[in-house]
Amino acid sequence: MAIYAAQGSQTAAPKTALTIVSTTNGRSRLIEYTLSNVGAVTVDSQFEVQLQRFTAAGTTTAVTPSGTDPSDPAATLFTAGSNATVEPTYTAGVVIDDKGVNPRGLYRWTAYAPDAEIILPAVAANGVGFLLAVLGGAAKVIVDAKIRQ
Amino acid sequence: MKLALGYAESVDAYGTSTIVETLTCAHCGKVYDKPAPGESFGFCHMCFKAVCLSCGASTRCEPFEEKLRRLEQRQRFLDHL
Repeated sequence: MAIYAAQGSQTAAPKTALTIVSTTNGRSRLIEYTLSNVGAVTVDSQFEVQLQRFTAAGTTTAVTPSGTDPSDPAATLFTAGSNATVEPTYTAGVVIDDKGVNPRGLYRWTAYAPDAEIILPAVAANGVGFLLAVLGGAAKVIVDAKIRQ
Repeated sequence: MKLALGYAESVDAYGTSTIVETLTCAHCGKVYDKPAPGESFGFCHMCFKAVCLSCGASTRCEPFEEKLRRLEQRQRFLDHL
């Protein structure tokens, strides 16, 4: 079991900040994520991020997941991408988490028990994406996810 | 009862941190705030796990891992065509 970190960012809405894309090698699990903003806040209005499942990964800038233990090998069960230029095909009506966050603050979710972890299917091009639904007063929304494989 | 517990921390514009317990629905995988005592909540009496309100309204027990297994099985079948 190894834990990897992957970061994505987005400056426009509605666009995806970070995708975690499965491979057929096995199931990985999302165990933690943090939503925050960098840059000058324009207005005191919340940004909204939705965590959704997708069945086609879209086009993103590749992100290399970094192991929290430097002796761990590179991630093999998933890939990550930031700043989508072509949106993933999200599963309609399935939103895992939907949060409005003040751009001067942050939001962090952590799975404490294994049952709480968000499991990704071992199906190629499937996975979860962090869709920046509303930019609000944020300048650049940062998503930092921890994935276990 | 096994609780799929998680924690969510929100920090507001004034730096005030609020921590709430969350649950992950055993049927659809949705993350939701743990209901306070007295609040309505979802519970599956077949898999004996906490579920979200909309899944709790259904009489079917369809664990999320079973859905994943079916999805992966379907993909393996399609890959072999």
